[in-house]
This record gives sequence, structure tokens and C-alpha cells, in this order.
Amino acid sequence: MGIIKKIINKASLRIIISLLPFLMTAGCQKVINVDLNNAAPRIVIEGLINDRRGPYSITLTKSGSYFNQPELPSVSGAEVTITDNTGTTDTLKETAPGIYLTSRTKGIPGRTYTLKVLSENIEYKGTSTMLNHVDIDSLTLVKSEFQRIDLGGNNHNRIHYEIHCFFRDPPQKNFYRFKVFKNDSINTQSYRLYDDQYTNGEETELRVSGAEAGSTYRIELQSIDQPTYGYYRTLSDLIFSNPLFGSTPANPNTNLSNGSLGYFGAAAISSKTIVITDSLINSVK
Amino acid sequence: MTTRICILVFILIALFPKWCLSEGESVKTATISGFVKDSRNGETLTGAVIYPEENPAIGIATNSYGYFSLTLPIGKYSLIIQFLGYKTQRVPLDLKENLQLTFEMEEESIALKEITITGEKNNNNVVQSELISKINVREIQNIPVILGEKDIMKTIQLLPGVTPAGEGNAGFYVRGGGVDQNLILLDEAPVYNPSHLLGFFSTFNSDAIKDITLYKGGFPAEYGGRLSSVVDIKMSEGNNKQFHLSGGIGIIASRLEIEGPLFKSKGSFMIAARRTYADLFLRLLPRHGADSTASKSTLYFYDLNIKANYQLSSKDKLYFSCYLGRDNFNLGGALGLNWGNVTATTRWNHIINDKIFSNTSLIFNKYSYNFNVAVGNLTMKVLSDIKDWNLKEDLHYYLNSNNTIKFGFNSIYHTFVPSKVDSSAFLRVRSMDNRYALENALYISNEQTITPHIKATYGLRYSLFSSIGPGTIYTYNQVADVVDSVTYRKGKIFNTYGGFEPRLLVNFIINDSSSIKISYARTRQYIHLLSNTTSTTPFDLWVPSNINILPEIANQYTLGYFRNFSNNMYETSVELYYKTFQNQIDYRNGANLILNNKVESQLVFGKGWSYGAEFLIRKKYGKLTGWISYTLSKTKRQFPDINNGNVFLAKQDRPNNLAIVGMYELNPKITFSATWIFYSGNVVTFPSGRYLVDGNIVPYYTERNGYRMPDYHRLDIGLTWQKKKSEKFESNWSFSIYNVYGRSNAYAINFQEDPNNPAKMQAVQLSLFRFVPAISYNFKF
Repeated sequence: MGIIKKIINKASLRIIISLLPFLMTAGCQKVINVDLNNAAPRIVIEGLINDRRGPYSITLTKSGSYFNQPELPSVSGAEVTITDNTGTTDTLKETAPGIYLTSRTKGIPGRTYTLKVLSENIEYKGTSTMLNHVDIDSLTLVKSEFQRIDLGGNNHNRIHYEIHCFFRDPPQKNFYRFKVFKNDSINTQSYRLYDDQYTNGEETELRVSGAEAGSTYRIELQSIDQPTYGYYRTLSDLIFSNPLFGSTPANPNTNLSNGSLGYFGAAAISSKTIVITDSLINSVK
Repeated sequence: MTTRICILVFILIALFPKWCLSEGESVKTATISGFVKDSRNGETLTGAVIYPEENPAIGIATNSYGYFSLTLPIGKYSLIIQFLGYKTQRVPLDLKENLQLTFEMEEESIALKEITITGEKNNNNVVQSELISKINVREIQNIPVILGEKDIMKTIQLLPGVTPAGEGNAGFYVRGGGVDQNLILLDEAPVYNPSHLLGFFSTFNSDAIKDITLYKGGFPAEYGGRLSSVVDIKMSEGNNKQFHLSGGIGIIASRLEIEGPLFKSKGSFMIAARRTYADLFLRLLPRHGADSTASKSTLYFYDLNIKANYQLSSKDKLYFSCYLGRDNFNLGGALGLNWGNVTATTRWNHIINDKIFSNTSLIFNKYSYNFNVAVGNLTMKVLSDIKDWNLKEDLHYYLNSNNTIKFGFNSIYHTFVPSKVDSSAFLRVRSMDNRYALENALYISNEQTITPHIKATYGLRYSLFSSIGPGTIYTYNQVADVVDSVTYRKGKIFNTYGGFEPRLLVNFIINDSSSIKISYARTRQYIHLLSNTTSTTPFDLWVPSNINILPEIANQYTLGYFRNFSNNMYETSVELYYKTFQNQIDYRNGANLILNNKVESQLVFGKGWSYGAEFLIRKKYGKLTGWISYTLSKTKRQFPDINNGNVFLAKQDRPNNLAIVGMYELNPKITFSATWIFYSGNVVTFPSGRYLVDGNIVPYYTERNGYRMPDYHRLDIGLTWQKKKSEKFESNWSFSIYNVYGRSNAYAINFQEDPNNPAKMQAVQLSLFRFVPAISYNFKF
């Protein structure tokens, strides 16, 4: 759905942009001073258990002033535990300021994990279930045309390459986060999230556009539960939406209690790598 | 409780004819009935007042078809007929039996204007039991507007209690109500999306409009279906005496209008068309490359108004009016979007007898948009519309000189096609289910002169809304998951909502120049616009009430003091209002309203209230005319699922709202005009902190709408230069400058990383429209 929303917003934006010259608006942007309140710092909890080998980490920080705080403080000395539904309780150890590592927790699909953080006499709690592990079946390279037409109607189409990623969606309700690493660095400019409401149980295809020759791409497929998906989706809406078309902003929907910011999730992760060599490109028609 | 009291009062008054028939049985009476028209073009005049000079208290105003009926004891009278901007007529009359009369009113020439007004009473605003703001299109032709396009919807926003939804937005809020709570009627047909070019222009071509009446409170019982206001727009009927061609050439659009008699002056017609030519500029953009697709890029809107009428007999008249408007945007075939409204109204006026006037209307209206994209091998086409078939019957029974009873019914069949999608299989987009509904209403009201000093209009409306199959209705739990669904077969009526809507308005006339009016109105709204974006987009989604969406209900109480000065040259008023809203709609955090078949799951419901004081000073005659309006108000909402259940300021909240409108006629050739607008900035949700998650800087919010944008203000000026004016030909040039002193009003404020220092955040303000000049040439012959 996200893609459609994006297309529609982009369409509206296009119209506005194209109107501007005709309306002779000299529409202008300028940096202004806005006097913002400084909210009392809030704890920020972030952690994602996965089905790879541990240890897993939980990071505790605090929120700061919006404009004037380059470094956000970490939260030390908290009591952090993770319990799974088989009864295993793990007390995490703070190995660096605000970073707490597990020692006994094992990420296994089907298990439910409960995080408890006790800091400054307040207990925060969050629960997440690890859904099925879903393997990426294959990655293929496809040649495609990227269409761009300017206002004068001039065509700037350009050939590009897409990586098509195939996987088989399990029969139950599933949610995914899809990460793309190019030469081992992630593009954080967008969240790619997928919900199987129209493709439940089917062979599913996701596309990554703009693959470049000479680069290595690693595609990671995270199978996540609904609350984690909901968190990422509202987080992504908040950070990347255009304020002209966005709805009233609000804090992302978290699964943590007591007013904590951030999230606690569990994901089953699979990944596959593709190297875009010249010979691979030449072989795609 | 209030409902019951009102019903009781109504029944008491309506069922005791002795009281109503206060003149008694012994006095012989006769009825004068007929029409009031403009002598120049034969158009009927709405709101002209007819009264015997001997007893000014028992006057009557013509209805929206120019009809009146006045019953008086037999005797000799001097009948006065008056209408603002026209010469008052005094007709001696020896009333012995029922009479049918047509009065033709002559327009006041400018030179006469100042002489004739003295001693006349033009105090309808004081003595009538109605709460309206009426705008005649001729009065506003000099008000400067953006890009020189006269726009009645922008003029409405200069009245007290009405605030623009945003810069250059055709949408507006009335007394704390939402944009979708305004019932906008064009010749009785509801117009769902009254905007062109994302709201920078309204769909109403001023050339085709006769007048516009705004109701903010004390709604007459014949109107219903929206909570907060009625904007009743009447199209011109066309000249039934002579042919005329008029038009205008502006920098953004050109207009052409033709009118004239039909069938030997038994009828008349009017056709007005307007088209923008922004797309012609598109062609001027540099082209390059052999595969240039410039010819395929378009960007324009047009509208067409057609109206015709025909006098079938002395008792029957037929009217037909039609509106067609469309915006078209196409980018070389890759992206296409077009949207617009269609309305068609057929009306039959029938005079049943001297005392009963009937109008039957059959109305069709539709708003639709088409959207298509083709990106590479991915294509998607979306079609969406909402259409209504509407049958309306209104009867006006002029019982006697003290009572005018109006009653009738209205039946609307709604079809909602939220989206019909045809797309590449890969996108996996599905159409949303169509919805069907029937909205019925019955009403009765009486306008009564209780004593010469107390006039009242009281009425009762009963509205009923039913969903009709086929349809599948889902029920959701707290976290928006479907827990159950029920499918209804075609034609099955389900989920019926209904209720009484009492209306009351009492006018205590202190004297000829001052009065106090109190009113109460309950309104119900069964269809709702969903849009969680801040700007106007064509992607309007209207949804009917059903098991998940309860009807919206508002109760409004008003108290007003009206006072005229200097022989009614100045009108002043102070109005207080208090309004409550039930079942208001907002959206869940991260709501997805686009192409979502279970869109109801994205909604949350709450209540609201608003209150305020509105001040108006208006100068009606003389070289300088215009008004000052000021509103002081507050609008709040409370939703269990928003802002932790705490009360917050609604987006409609604008504590201060001031408009000054002035037109100065220097000489018969030159008129200056200026408007100055000031209003408090929109409430917005800004962050009060930030934090890091997943490597992203995330804003931290503590409350909804806790901040306010900077105040909005601007000055527009205009000049109209009457070049030639004769019987045969007239022309004028009009010049205007929008936002003369170039105020950068905040359209939006975004927070982003400082490009020079990514660790630092900054606020960036986007402003539109600074200093926009315009010129247009208008002609008529």
C-alpha cells in the first residue's frame, strides 16, 4: 500500500510544483526560528531479537531537546531482562554505556519474548513474537526502463536494472521488513515494509530498482510480527512523509508500556547476495 | 429533551389555528400573489419585500423563485415593493378580490443611488426572522482576488464566522465545523468538491451566478444533511428580453457568456463557459529530444454553466440548469489525473392556488476523479465517484398575512464508488466495494408574525438514512482487526439511522432599526469526507454512515443583536454562538485511507464544541462601501484515542479572524478596492524533543495541536476602470495585486536536518503567493 500512497502523493506534488510557475507565486522557503518546548527527557528502548546466533543487544537512550542537543544521553545502570515463553529468563549485562547484551536468550521462531527494563524506578515492558522464518528463494536481475517526463513533456527515460527477489509467503498472516545493503552499507533513506494481505500463501516478488554494475547487493528479509511492523510503518510515515500531504504527526505506535519511546521486536531473518557483474548485465536482455 | 420541547411547541402552535388565524373569521380578505422581476432582463428576484405602507409589519419576502403571496383584509392600500439596489415601487391598490401581479423592478443607476435611499427602509436584516448573509454577485465584482478571477467562495471567507481552511483554499470552516460540514448547493444540487486546481479556484464562475446565501445558524427546516452551514448558490436565469454576449480575458482564464430570450420571451437561457490556459505555457517550455511528448502534456480546467427556463402557463414554469466542470492534468501519458463535478437540476414551479406554491425538483449530481499512472511496465488506473439522484418537493402555503407554512420532502439515492482499480498484477491493488444509501427527509416549518414585535420561524425536520445492499460490513476490534462481517444482498435495507432536527428562530424587534434574534438548530450528517492530508487534493473519499460510523450530530445556539444606523446605511451586528458536535471523525495514527477497503477501521470518533462572538459593521451605500468583520472563537475536540484522551484544539481553531473590505467609487469610471485579512495561524503539532531509533533522528511529540503557526495577514488591492458604458456596449479593465506588501505567510513548516550540519535540525517555512499582480479585460454587448 505504501507504494500507492507514495505514487499518489507524488502525483499531487507534481501538480503543485507544475502550478507554481503559472501562479507566479515566487513560492519561497526560508529557515525560521521556531520556539519549541523542551519536553522532559523520555527513555528510548530499542532492541530486535533475531533467529541468528546471539548475543542480542538492547539499547537504552533518552530523548533530548529538539534543536540543541547533538549527543543524546545513554541510560546506564538499568535492570534489563528478557523472558521467553518457555520460561527462560536472561538478565542482560551492560557492556558499554546504554548497551545491554543477552547471554542465554536464543531467537527461535514461534517463541514469544518479553522485555522488562527497570530504570529510575519505572518498569517498562514490551512483548514480541518471532514469526516463521521465510527464506529468499532467488534473486534475479531484470532490465527495465525508468520513466521520467518533465513538464515540457520531454522524455528522460533511462535504462536501469532491477533486482527481483522471490520468496514463498507462508499460509498465515505475515509481515516483512526488507533491507537492501549495497556493498555492505544500508540505505536508511526509506523503510521497505510488506504485508501479505493480497498475497497470502503465494509466491511473492519484491523489486529493488537502480542496481548498479560492479556492486554487491545483499537483500535481507525480516519476518516480523504485526506490532513491530506497525511500529516501522508509523515510524517511516513520520520520518519520510511530505508534511504537505502527511496526516497530523504523532509518535510511532510502540509495543512498549509506560510511555517509553522506541520498540522491542523479534524477527526471523534470511538473506541472499547478488553480485552485479558486467557479464551478468550482458546476459540480461 | 430539547427535541421533545421543540416538538411540543411546534404542535401547539401549528395545531391551534385560532391563534394562527389571528385576523378572525369576520374580516373579509383577499390575496395578492405573483412574482417580482428585474425589468431589465426579466430575472426573478429573491428576497424582495412587499408590504402595505399602512401596515409595514405584515410584509412578505419573495421566495427563491421570486414568488410571493400576501393576504390582506379588503381595502385600499399603497403597496411598497423594495429590493436592495433597485428603485422602490409604490403601487396604489384597491383590493376587492384575489389578484395576480408581476412587479418589474428597475435597477438604481449610480447617480440615483444616494438620493433614493434616504427615507427608505431596507432593514430586512433587522426585521426578518432569518439569519443569513446574502451576497449579490454584482456587489462583489470589485473585490480584488488572486489572479483576477472573481470568486464567490473566497468572498464568503471574508464574512464573520467563516475561516479559510488554508491559503488559496476553496475549503472553509464555519463556526468550528469541518470542510465537509458545509452544504454547498448550486441550483439545489449539492457540489461535493467545489474546487479547481487543488483549491486555488472555486468551481463557481461568477459570470453565471446570480446570488449566494450563507446560513451559519438558525437553519430553516428545508435544509439538512450537513452540520455547519448551507451555501445556497443560484445561477443567473438569462435575459428574457434581449440577447447579450459578455466575457473577460484574464491572465489565467478567459470567460464567455451568452444569454437571451427563448420562445418569444416565454423563456430565457444562459450559457457561461470558462477555461484556463496554463497548459499553453507548457508548450513554451524548452523541448528537446526526438521523442518529445510535449503535445501530450496538459494542465487546465474548464467549466460550463447552462440554464434555461420556460413559462408553460401562467401557473407553471420549468427550469433546467446544469453545471459541468473538470480539471485535467496529464504528464506525457505517464501520469494522468482529472476530476470534476456534474450537476443537473430540473425544476417545476407550480402555483396550485393563490396561497399555495409548489416546487418539484429532480436533481442529479456527481463528483468523480480518474487517476492513471504508467511507470515502466507498471500501470494503474483508478476511477472514483460519488453520485446522487435527488427528488425534492417544497410547498409554500401562505396561510394568512401572519403565517407562511413550508413543508416538503427530500429523497436522495447515493451511490459511492470509492475506487475502481485496474492495475498491473504486480501492484496487487484491489477495487474498494461500492456503497449505496438512501437519505430521506420530511420537514414542516412556519414563519409566523406573533405580534408586530415578535416574529418566529420554527420547524421540524425528520431525516432517515439507510444503507442499501449489496454490501459487506465489517466489524472491528480495538486494534482495527476485522472480527466479523455481514454481507447484505442487493436491495436489502440495513443500518437505518434517523432522528428529529428541531429548528427555531425568534426575532424580537425592538424598533425599525434594532432587534434581537435567538436561534436553536440541530443538524444531522450521514455522509462524511475522509481526508487526512493538510492540503486539498482531488482524492476525496466520501463514506456513508454505517455500523462503524455513527451520524454526526450538532446542536447550535445563537444570540444576536442587530442594529442599523443612518437610515439603514450602516448595518451592524453582534452574534454569539455555542455549538456542540457528536460523533466527529478523526484518524488513527498512521491511518491508510487510500484504496483501503476497510477504511472504517482507520477511524476514531470523538466529540467537539465551539463557541465565539462575531462582529460585523457594513456600509451599504455611498461612495465608500464595504464591511469589517471580526470573529473571536474557540474550537475544541476530544477523542479517547487521540492525545491520551485529553481535550485538544481542533484544526479549525482560529481565535482571531478579521477582514476589512472596502470599495471606493472615485467617480463613475474608477473604483478602488482593498481587502485586508488577518487571522491566527493554524494549530499544528510540532515536536518537543527528539531521539534516535534505528539510526534515524525521530521527533518526539507530547501533544496534538500544541503549537500555532505564525499569524496570517495580507492586503489585496484592486482598481476597476470603466472604459465605456452605453446601452450597446460596455467594457472595463480591472487590475489587482494580491498580497501587496509581500508578507511571507507560512503555508507549511517542515523540520529537517541542516544541510550544512546533519546533526542539527532546522525549521523551514514554505510560503506561497507573494505579490501577485493580475489584469483582466471584461466586456458586454
